[in-house]
Amino acid sequence: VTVAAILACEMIEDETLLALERALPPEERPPLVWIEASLHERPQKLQAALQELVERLDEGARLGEPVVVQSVRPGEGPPADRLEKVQVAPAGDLVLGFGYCGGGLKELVSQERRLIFPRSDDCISMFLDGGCDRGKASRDSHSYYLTKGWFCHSSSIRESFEDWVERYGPERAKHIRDLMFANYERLSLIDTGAYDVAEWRPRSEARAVDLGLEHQILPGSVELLERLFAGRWDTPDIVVLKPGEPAGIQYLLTAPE
Amino acid sequence: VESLDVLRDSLVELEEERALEAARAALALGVRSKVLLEACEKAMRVIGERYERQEYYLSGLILAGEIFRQVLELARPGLRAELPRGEAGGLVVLGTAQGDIHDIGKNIVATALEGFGFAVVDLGVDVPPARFLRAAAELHPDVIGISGLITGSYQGMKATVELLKEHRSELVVVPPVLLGGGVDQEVMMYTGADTWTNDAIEGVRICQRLMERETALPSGDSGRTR
Repeated sequence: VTVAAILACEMIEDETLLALERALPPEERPPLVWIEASLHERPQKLQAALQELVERLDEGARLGEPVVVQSVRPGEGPPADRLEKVQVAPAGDLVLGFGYCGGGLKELVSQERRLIFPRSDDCISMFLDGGCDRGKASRDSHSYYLTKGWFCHSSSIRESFEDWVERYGPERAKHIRDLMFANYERLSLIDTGAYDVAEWRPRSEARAVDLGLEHQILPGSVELLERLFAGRWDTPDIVVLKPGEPAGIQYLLTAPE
Repeated sequence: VESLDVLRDSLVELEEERALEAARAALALGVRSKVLLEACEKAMRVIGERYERQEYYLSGLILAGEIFRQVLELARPGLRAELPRGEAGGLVVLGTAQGDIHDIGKNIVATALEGFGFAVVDLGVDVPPARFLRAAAELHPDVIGISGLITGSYQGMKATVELLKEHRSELVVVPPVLLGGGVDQEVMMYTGADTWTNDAIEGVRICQRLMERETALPSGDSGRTR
């Protein structure tokens, strides 16, 4: 199995890097093409960005030439300031370190390469229960899940109460908070093993207090990502699409025959 | 009318007081409630575009939705009065699918539906399929609206549609199921629902069409049905 590149989400940088480190020795690691974290909450834009990238890589495959694409070096600041070039080989599969992510993979298609991704709602499901084993997943709809990435990149959690007060005034800030987190009862920081939970716990707890939620730390893992990167795709929780076959929720929600 | 421009602009800029003041002023000047809502719809579209361009955060969308909901409240008496005489209001059962608790959009739809003369029974969030079935059996609604934002809601939607169809004989008529929120044609097909929308006012139009009523609103361009 040759993997030409891993398309990865900046939001889960730590988890992606840990999984890759565990999965493959350095010399066997395919190039990582990072997608900016801000697309995490904008599935249509995420889909468009992924499709554009895949099409560029398809072109390389057709011409039999390596393609140089833009990647976003993970970190702070506007993505435009963090662009770097990554070269991707003309042959090989594309591995997506993404869940379905609210439609981020919807109708994503490569005409030339196989697309491989976890059968997972989103990254939260990837990290809980060693991947989302449907029917058994302990995902609780009243819990707001997060990892360190939520504090480092654009997210509803990072957008702090103080930002809202500044932007909209104290009363409306409170109103927004009440609306946004209505029906949530808990803030659950997932210990994916990829970052120091002790370091981020105080911040997470403070946000929970801010939002009037209970706080808990949940065990998680990067095991599914690890298998994805290691090329161990013969399990039902990993989807392998043939060239020309578009991604869709049928792959996500229906167990294979 | 100037106050409509002010309403549209202040909604786009998320200026709550100014928007509500403009809405009140417009209504006082005799602007029809429907026209008021059309101005809001345009503003909401601009807000959506700004969000997509990352000029607005999620908090901005939420605030906009809340302002819109309040304008709908203001417009409600007028909307009722503007309804054609003798038109029976339908009954819509609403709820957020099992596995999901997001309800901002659902609440806006509930307010909008009530504004247009529908009776709404809101089952809340994380609603199990059996609860929808019970409501269908007891209340005989004209439409069942299931809302969901996250991928985790799709299975709850599918299970609900299947359960309703399984109980076809006792329900006599299985009410059409309208999906709302983070859904699309693909989700509608997957779940077996009848129609979908991610626009509150469009949701009202769809319910009106499903009621086979003379629509009180001009027909939109995006009502999608299987």
